[in-house]
Amino acid sequence: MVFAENGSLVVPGQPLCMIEEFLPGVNVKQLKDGVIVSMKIGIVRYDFSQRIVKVHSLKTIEEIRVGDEVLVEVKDVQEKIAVSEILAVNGRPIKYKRVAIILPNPKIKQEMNKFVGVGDLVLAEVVTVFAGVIGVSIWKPRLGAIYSICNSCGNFLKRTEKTLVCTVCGNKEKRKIVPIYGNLAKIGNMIGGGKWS
Amino acid sequence: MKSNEVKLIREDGRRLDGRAFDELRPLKIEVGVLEKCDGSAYVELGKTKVYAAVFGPREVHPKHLALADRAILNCRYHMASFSVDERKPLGMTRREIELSKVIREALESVVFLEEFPRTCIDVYIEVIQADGGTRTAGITAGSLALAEAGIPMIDLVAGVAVGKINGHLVLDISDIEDKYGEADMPVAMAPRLNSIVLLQLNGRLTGEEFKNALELAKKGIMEIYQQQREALRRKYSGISAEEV
Repeated sequence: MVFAENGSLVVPGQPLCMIEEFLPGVNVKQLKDGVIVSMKIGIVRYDFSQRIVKVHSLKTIEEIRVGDEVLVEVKDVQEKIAVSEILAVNGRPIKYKRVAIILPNPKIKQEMNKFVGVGDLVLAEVVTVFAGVIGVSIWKPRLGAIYSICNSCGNFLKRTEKTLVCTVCGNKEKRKIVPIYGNLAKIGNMIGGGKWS
Repeated sequence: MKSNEVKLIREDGRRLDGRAFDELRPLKIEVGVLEKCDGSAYVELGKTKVYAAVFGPREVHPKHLALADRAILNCRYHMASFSVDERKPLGMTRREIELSKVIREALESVVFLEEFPRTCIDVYIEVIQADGGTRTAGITAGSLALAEAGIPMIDLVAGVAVGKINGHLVLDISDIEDKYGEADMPVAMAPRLNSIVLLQLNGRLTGEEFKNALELAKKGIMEIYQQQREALRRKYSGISAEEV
């Protein structure tokens, strides 16, 4: 016998069933007396084949998981790593920005400033989330800087055949770029800005 | 200084506002009343009116305050300048700082903070009109706002103040009963867990009176808890199982 019907709305602390009937899945918690209660407001689902109870939350919290594709803004470049801020996850802007570390590639000996620069917008993939610290990688071919700015004057670096050249001062710089480098429409879609040209 | 001289019980054995000793003031609870925050709630208990808003989980600033194993629950209880008879100065008073702390501790006991390491969750409780029982109304509203924000919780928290006036224990004391009564005991509980998360006592109660006051508070809290659950259900009643 379950306390809340399958597909019904439940609130935090509401008893759902006993531990003998279903195993606790997501958004539920087993109390000491063996009662499984909901942790969130949502819709309760009983999986009768696997005997698991879970609650589909009606309000989702922005969570960053391993494998997510993120758009980050580089804040600081150090010898081995770069510190960045996540602006969008899987093509959607996030409300609360999170700090992420761009991790080095052990096979590449060059310093990080050869791949990203301060102020760049970079496409990256989340490779580790541990105790709230997010590590991202830019070492796959589809990942890297999507929009870079000149270290000297802060203007846009235009892509040429072999390098990036500042449109104002002519400064040449190196980055690990994505095939769609400079695609402002894509950036605009990801971070939810107004019109980008 | 509390005084016993003021008559707080009428000839017909009822309180000045016509309530029985074990009766709550008219209670109104709404959820999702504010648009810009992640979760919000409004609680009206008689003339006491309280809003609560929740932001987060978000990154902690400054960074050194972040905890590696859990989130920080920031709680700010504040009374509006126009909430009391005489204008309350802006800024946080000593009382508000203390109440922010006790409310934070009450809410912390039901929130799964360890699910969000190195982040913080902000709970803002704003008293719009004060007529007694503001801290317990704040806890009631804060817990609903947290639930509405999707923060995982083991239970809701509901609170009510019990008092002693003219030798009688009464439930949900108003401002005048608080000022001229003999004792004031705010209690907050996580009802499903049957655990007391806040208990304070101003004034004096005998051991027997204390036990009875606690039972009276539990009765009031269960009534508030039912209304909390109904308010949450009312807010999301239009959502069908297929939409999720």
